[in-house]
Amino acid sequence: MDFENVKAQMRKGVLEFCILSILSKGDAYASDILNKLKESELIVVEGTLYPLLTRQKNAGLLSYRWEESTQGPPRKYYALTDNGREGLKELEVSWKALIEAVDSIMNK
Amino acid sequence: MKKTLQIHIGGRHFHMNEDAYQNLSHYLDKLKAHFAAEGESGREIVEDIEQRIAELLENRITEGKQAVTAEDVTEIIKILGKVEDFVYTGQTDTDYQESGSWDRRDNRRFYRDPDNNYIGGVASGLGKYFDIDPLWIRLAFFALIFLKGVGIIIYIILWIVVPKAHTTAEKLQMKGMPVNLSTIKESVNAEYEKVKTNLSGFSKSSEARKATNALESLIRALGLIMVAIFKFIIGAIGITFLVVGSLFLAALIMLSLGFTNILGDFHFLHGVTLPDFSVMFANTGHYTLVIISLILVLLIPIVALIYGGIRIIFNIRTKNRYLGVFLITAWFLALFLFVTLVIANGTNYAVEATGKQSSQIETGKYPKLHIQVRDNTEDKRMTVYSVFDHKFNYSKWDESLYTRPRLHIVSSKDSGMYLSVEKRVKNIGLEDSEEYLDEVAYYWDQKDSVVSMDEYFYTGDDEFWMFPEVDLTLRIPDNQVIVLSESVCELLVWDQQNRYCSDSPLTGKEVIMTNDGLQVHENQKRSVNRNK
Repeated sequence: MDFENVKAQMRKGVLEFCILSILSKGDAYASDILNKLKESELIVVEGTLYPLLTRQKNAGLLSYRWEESTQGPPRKYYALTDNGREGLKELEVSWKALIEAVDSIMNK
Repeated sequence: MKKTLQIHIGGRHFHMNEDAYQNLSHYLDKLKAHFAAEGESGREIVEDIEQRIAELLENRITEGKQAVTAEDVTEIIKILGKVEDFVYTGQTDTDYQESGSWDRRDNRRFYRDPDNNYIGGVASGLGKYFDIDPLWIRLAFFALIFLKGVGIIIYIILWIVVPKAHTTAEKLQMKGMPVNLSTIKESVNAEYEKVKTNLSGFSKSSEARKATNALESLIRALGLIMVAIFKFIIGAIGITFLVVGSLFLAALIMLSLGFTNILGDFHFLHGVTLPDFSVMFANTGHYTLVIISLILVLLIPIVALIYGGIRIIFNIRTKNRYLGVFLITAWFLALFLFVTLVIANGTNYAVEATGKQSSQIETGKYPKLHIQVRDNTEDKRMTVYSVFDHKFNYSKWDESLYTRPRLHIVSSKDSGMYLSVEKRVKNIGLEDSEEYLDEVAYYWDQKDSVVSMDEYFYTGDDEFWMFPEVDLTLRIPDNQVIVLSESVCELLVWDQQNRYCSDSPLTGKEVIMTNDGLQVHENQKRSVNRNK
């Protein structure tokens, strides 16, 4: 059995949820998001984040603006849209349901 | 001293060593290729990643170290991950895996070599692949030609299946070198140098590098032996596939074309070609379909075997994933069609029909009757086909099959003289069996004292599966004098032909029917004696 594959699938499932979650606490640019994800060991290679951000932006969950930076060129700051907030609520509900379901099965 | 380049990435400027630059641009090229499918968003993703790369690079620049090194780039690529690691489905696309690991694995591929070819570059490409002088491979192909031409077949198959090395990258892979900018440059330079100075010893430097450390080379040698054993086993499987497949293919082609001696003494099939064999399964317009489906059912696994063998031996990857699905589908369809047709036809089969028509020959007025056979074919150039033990004369001219009937001459039970025509057909259904008999056409007539019988009965060329037969029986009353023309011999059954035509032929003489068969008539005997 290839558990790496299962783990990767699990991480992928929650990654998008976590990106929305991080952004719900305030606008951030890609490196901020990366740092938080890496702290909680949700991401292995950084490159994974960028396609996800772009896809969420294309899906209307995120928007971005350019902000001047004191060090180096302007940065892309991402923010949740109203759609994004609604999507996050939905995901939170199903996340709780999922945890309960898994717990109840494991504790039986 | 090292050459550095100035590059611009993610809105920042960097000094970079040349090897670092090559690593990075190789990485970015792969990213671009990967995300190209996503169009505008793809470009955006790559831009974002470039931005991140710039950030990470910046962290590595210090007062003491201004230029970005290859190690820095390797580090950064590790942090960002390879393209195949981005794909979170767990299955990595083989193409990316391949190009991502060029620096670790021997990615040698079999290509046809267009630069050193005699015919199609197959032998030269094989030589590059196995690192041996193509001369030996050419000799091997030549030797295999004498093995029933197997060499030619294998060569042609390889010529078709194996791609030609067009680009410099492919030519490098042919020799098993990693494909990157520096090796391409190396290869182009080497070729240039070779042409310029016509020197052959440019491999000396690599020879020298090899002899570094005795222990290291021992370990490497052991590893190489393991790899070689593994490759040998894989290769043996591939070659078995290829050889078995080729033999089956040759057998199928020979069967289809009518060469049957390959089956040796297998009597049931001896002399049967594949088209003939199919006749046993169908008797109507489905005949062609049955043959096509049968050939497909046999051919597809054979082709798959050969193709698989070649792929295993030469590590050929195909980008066409649908080929397998297509072949399997086609095979099942062909099998289904074949079985359906056989069942459908089989129920309507194995019935024989016989029809007999006896007519009286007018004798009263004629003391002497002449019996003759006339050639009723207008086409003088007929082809003889043989299906099982049946021989048909096929005339292209009227698309008919002509066959000789068999003639028996017997004694009549009464004073009348009769000719009976008995037609027999096989392999028909119960329905319309009489109509099938009518497909068989045979004619004879009587003009005054001359009875003329056609030499052939005939059917349409698509009716051969009936295996039609016609038996003629001529009943002669005791006192009737007849004269058989020589042409009658053609139709007489074997024993009567021997008796009446061979030793002392009765043809052309007046004969009568006796208890002991035909005898020369007394009057004639006397006249013969008198002449003596």
